[in-house]
Amino acid sequence: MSKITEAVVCAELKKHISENIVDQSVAVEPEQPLRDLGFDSVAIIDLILFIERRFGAAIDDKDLVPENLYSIHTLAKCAMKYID
Amino acid sequence: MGAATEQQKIYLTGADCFILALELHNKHAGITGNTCRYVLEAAGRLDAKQIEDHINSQTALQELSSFKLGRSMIFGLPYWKPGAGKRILVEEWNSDAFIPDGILERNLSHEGAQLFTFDIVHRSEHKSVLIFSWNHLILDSQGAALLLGKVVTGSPIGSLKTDEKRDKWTIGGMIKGYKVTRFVKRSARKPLTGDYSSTGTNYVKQQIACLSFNEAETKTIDLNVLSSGSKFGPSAYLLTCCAQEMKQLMLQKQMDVSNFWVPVPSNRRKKGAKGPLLGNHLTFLFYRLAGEKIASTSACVADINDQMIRQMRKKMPDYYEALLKIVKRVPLVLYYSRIKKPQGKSISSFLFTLADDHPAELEQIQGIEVENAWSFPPNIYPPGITFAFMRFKGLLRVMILSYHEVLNAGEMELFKNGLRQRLLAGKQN
Repeated sequence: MSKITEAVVCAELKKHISENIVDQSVAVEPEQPLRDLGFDSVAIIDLILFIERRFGAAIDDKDLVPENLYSIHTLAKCAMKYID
Repeated sequence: MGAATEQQKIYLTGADCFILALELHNKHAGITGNTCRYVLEAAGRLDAKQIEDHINSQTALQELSSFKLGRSMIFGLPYWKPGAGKRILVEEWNSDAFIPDGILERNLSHEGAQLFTFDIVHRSEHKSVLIFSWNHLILDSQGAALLLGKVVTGSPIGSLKTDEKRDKWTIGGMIKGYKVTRFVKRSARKPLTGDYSSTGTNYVKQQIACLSFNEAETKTIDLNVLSSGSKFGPSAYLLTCCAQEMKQLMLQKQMDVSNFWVPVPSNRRKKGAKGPLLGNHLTFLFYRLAGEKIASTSACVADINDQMIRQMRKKMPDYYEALLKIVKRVPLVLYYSRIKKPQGKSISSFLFTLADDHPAELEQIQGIEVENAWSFPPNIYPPGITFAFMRFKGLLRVMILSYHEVLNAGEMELFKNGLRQRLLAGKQN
């Protein structure tokens, strides 16, 4: 199985957001603040649970802070700490 | 009304049917329907005639004004059938009241003559207010903001037809419905605090209060959100402050306070979507706020965070949406007792909603700056107290809706000031 890198997590998160959370007319960029994409609490939790399901990585409560939940990139970086 | 062809029918969504059931509730309580309002305060005087012409140049709006509700058979799906379009009138008022009583008390029931209205209120300081009022059955707040954006900018609305399908009952859907019903029953177990009514009258009078926060105050509240531990967004902190203020009020009124149970709507539209206009695209999360935790902001916020994650992990919002679809075919009275009153009475302690930010398309009307905007959800009675939060140009706005039978004018003033102080005070509450 190929190694899961931060770029892979970013790409998977971007795909999940484009397919399930935002309208197809909305361009999604990894550095873009999630708030600018219209994310609310339910959408943020959806991403956290997606990481759990897709990569088996349960992010610890102490890491669920605004800096890590800021963009796809910051969330992917945080998730990497929990991915073997 | 003649029989509608399949092509003419616009089926109601599951959430629309839930709101349709609430019409029964409103009728019992003698309140003026599932009415929502979007209020735009312009910095100058608006030309009502020009707005009326804009509105009537949109055939879709005339079609919407002629909607009649249909249901093909006992277990058939409810649908809208457009009738012949008619001219929509914009009523003008001269008043300094925030919303004149004549507008506030107007009944926009689906059984009545109209489902939505536009009013222009001219105020004494040479400023006008545009008020769009509509029955929640036809539009949710995002759909209403999209529609209003098209009215104000004059861009075409297009077809009202949605892709809402004739959902069928499936075993999978029924299992989801059973699971979420079991969850709701457990979450809403007694003891609960609520039902602050009730005079037993069949007519109750609405009252509203609004809170504006400037840039510095909004920043303070945003910092309070973070320091309270409301990590997924502001909702946990804002809900906590509302619960604390409710508790305070009830103690002042020497009422028993136990646990609060609050259903919170969650928008199912995709972010950034420009349609569909029509229908409600909602599900709900349900919070049980333990009486002993409400006093501590951080404990209450942490509890709400936990409940949010647990419900999302168990897919309860998806299951509730599935349940709403299943019960679309159920006759209204049965539906009402199943969904609205699973324990034989209304169980919500208060209602809470976090609306979308005010859209950029609505920052001007007729070239005049919009200097304030408010999006009011309906206020179901009982419980008869609803809190709504939104942002206008980044600044926090809070709307409190109640009835004179629940809070008198003095209590409402105290309540409004108390909530303002609490939101600004943060964790030290």
